[in-house]
Amino acid sequence: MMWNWSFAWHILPTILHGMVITIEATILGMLLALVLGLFWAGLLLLPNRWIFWSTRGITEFIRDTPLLIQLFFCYYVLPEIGITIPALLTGITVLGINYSAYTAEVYRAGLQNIPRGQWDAAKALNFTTWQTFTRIILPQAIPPIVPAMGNNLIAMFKDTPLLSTITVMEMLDRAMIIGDKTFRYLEPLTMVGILFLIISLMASALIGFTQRKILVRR
Amino acid sequence: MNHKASIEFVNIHKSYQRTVVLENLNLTVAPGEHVVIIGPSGSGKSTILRLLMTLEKPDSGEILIEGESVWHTTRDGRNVDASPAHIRRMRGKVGMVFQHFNLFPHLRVLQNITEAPIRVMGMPRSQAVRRATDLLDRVGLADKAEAWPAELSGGQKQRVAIARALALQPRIMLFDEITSALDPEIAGQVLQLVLDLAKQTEMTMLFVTHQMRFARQIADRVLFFDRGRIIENGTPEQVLDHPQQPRTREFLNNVFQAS
Repeated sequence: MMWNWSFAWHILPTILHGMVITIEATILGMLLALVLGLFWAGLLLLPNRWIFWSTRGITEFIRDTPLLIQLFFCYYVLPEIGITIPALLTGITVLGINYSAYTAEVYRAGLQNIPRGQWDAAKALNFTTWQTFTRIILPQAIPPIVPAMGNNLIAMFKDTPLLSTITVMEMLDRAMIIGDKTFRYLEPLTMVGILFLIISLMASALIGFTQRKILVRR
Repeated sequence: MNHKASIEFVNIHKSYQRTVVLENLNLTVAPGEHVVIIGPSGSGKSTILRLLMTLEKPDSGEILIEGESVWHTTRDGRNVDASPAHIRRMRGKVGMVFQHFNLFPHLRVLQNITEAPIRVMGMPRSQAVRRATDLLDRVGLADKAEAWPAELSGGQKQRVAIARALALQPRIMLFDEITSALDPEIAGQVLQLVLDLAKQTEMTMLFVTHQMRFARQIADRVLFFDRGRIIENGTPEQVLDHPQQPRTREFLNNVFQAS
């Protein structure tokens, strides 16, 4: 089987359409993961043991069940109990919730690296807990965890083909449809692989740049 | 003029897990008084300051600041837990300088000082900056306003920390071993600054320190503390020169031999 350039050019627009969906799902999923993960990490900091252990339980549960099953469950089982969510929205939400369990750990590591004295000083200056968290602790905790967060972002990006299993027309889904119709899988699958590679490399570079930018400021 | 005590500890008990840190502590400090607490490490000295700063909560007993309980209020004649708003109001009367400075490394020197007045007191930025600039001038660091904390020496960091605590104009200032992390020469300069400061204000001041010369210079009263109890309590002359208790004599002998 030989690579056919004209066929590749012909299917490129369809695959790029899929890429838009892939990137959309990644960005929205990551936003959800970043917000929800911070929420979990915040709960884990509270002195209340009940809150701590329930939060731990939730994030452990999310991390110890396969993403694919979570996707299937939300897309195929929830409608049976009357909850029907469109495929893409299901995909983004499940990705976001799934990765929030990982971002929570990254946040937690960042927060634990802040010395106790910073909390003491903030309290002695009479900042509220919220002000302490948002103005004193987080701005110190975030820069060192940018690389780890970036890795999560790239990992999530590479997990988006799983959304094809719940009928989301992302890149891989489109490539497979083309393959099924034309019996040529070489070009569509190669192109999808290369697009994933290019975007991942670009994302890595951007993360590295961001981190240097933040560190230079000190 | 306020004739109430500035600070009162009434039957304060504090332990961590099984270790008793403070046992039935009673202590009264008059307004404007400078009290130095000395004693061996782990004797609970710092805990007194941390309790006053509300960084820790006592297991039992009452802490009163200017006659008002920090942790309790009376409602319908009953003693109930105070609201967070009440505790914050009480906390606002107290400022603290720490052994390890605890400057905020992500904020420039000036912002370290202005952040609390702006966010906590709601002071207009221009006024906060003016006050911070004055304070930096007072601690001899007017030219460091735009520096990052990481660019300062230990002594300079501690001066900024003092300015930062003063910016909120507390009625009571707590100094927790503020020179323990500094070279002796630098420590001397910081202590001189505090001595000057103490002369210029009417703030009540509590110090935990191992610097006996400084204690003698600044203290109206010295407390010798051991194993969660006040062993000796008197003027610097009484406690440092004529200690009554064998434990105090032993401690002072060790300290003076070391220095």
